[in-house]
Amino acid sequence: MSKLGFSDILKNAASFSAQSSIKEDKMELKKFVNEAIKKQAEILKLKDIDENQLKIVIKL
Amino acid sequence: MEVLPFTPENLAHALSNELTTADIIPNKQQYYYYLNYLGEGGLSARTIVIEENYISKDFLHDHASYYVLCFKDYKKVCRRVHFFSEAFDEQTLRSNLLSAEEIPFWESYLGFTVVRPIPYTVIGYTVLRTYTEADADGQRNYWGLRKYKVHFFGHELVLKSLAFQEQDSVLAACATSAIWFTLNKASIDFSTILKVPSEITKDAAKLQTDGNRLFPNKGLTLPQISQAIHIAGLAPEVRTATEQKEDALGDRTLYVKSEFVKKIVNAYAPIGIPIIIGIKVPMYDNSTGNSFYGFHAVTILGHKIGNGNGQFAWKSDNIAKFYIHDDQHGPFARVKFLEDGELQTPWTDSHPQHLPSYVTSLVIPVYPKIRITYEDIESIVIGVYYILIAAFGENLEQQWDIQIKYSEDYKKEILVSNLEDTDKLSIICSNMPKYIWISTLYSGENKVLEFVFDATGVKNAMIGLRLNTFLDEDVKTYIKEFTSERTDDLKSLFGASGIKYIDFLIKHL
Repeated sequence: MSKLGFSDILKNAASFSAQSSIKEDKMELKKFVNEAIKKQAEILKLKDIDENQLKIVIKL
Repeated sequence: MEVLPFTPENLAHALSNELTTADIIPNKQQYYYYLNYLGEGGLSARTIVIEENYISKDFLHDHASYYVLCFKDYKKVCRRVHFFSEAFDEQTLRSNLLSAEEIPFWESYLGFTVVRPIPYTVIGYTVLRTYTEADADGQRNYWGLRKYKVHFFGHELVLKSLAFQEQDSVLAACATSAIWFTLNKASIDFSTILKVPSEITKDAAKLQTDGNRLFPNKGLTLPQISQAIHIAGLAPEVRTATEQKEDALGDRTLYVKSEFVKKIVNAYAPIGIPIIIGIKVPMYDNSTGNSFYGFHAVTILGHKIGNGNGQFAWKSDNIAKFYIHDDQHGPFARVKFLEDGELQTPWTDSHPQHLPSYVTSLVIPVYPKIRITYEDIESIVIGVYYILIAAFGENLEQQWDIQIKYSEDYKKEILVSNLEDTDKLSIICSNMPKYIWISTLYSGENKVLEFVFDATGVKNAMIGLRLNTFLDEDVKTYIKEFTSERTDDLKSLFGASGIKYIDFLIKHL
């Protein structure tokens, strides 16, 4: 089977090598990782239960 | 036996009993739902066959635990009403019944509904055929179905469906019915215990939350729903509303984001256990002309993927509708997504101002061994998503799909995939747990990466089992080098087992 190359998975493969300061800048990468961790925390928070909602009687 | 053409009058007659006459039946929402679902725009029923003195095991248990103790002599036998898409008379039916051979006539069988011999809440055990899977505006996926053997006057017919019944409002309210729908499927797939509605309500609580006696039952809370599911042998995963907005009547309402509901439905659909959702539905008081909202529970057992080809971040974004068993309306009812958190339910359709409904909670029953949740996997996916953005920039097309599957189903998919034979053999011959999470990254229609996680593992451990890549060697090498050079920064994307996930990525690329 044919596998995917850079041009298949990038919307604009030509600009790939020139962009993304994250690749080179360590501080920028740290900031980027922190943003991801914040996003992950938001997702895991969806499992938190609002106890007030547990008292509602579902009755129709 | 009575054989009648399918007409509104005959349907009302068929659904009636001694305590609920045919003139009362049209007051029921379910009657109109049946007319629509079984009528010309639906399954196109042409004939009704009424079978008297039918013993319904489900009603018999409820009868024994409650109705038999009433002073009034409630009958224990029911009426069973069968529907056919073919038009025929009694003589034709008798002749077909005498044929021992397979004849096309039986293909027109659409299912049955039991009419209970109690006042008003007459719709008992019901098994009806679904609509076809494909239609003009998308693909229906009824993942919560099972096979039922129906014994019809000496003939065994098989239908793929999910049993339905309305609450009797004494032994069961909507929440009990919603649990019963779910257990009807789980009892086949997971060997859990299928109970009748009165037993489910008894499992849920000893008394009502306000201290009142359990029966007549006025409804259940989320913890009570969970308890009944737990006692039946499944593990409930509960999610409550996280968002707030003004509802259609101007009051603040809590709701679950539509995007999250779609993600959950898409994620858990492959294991086929119907999901219970709490919804806030609009109601109308005819005497005062006032609208108000009430809390209701229904069961999701299918969804429809739309035909839209727009950009999306998650495959689940393509879900356009889902299908529910709503005991107050009927089986396989359509629910459309409106604004965020808002739904068009049968309650919306029957409200004079068509006010929207809101999802307020989700109860996902799973097999107890499935300990890793959808959110645990999405959190890992977000880590990979950010690594790829860091490596390739925003120009990388990423669409993700997260689903839990039986490993045997996954191996069957692999067999017919376009992977190379060596990769296929490596996957199908590998040991896997019964339940696995599959996270797939797509670029357009093409698979890019496919992660396999152990759904039975421990959250803080490294639960990755495999990574299948569909990339050129130079792309893989690039990602591998990018990741290994930045391990110290990137490992914090995967919590306690961060370094193990980075090693896993590098090893499998």
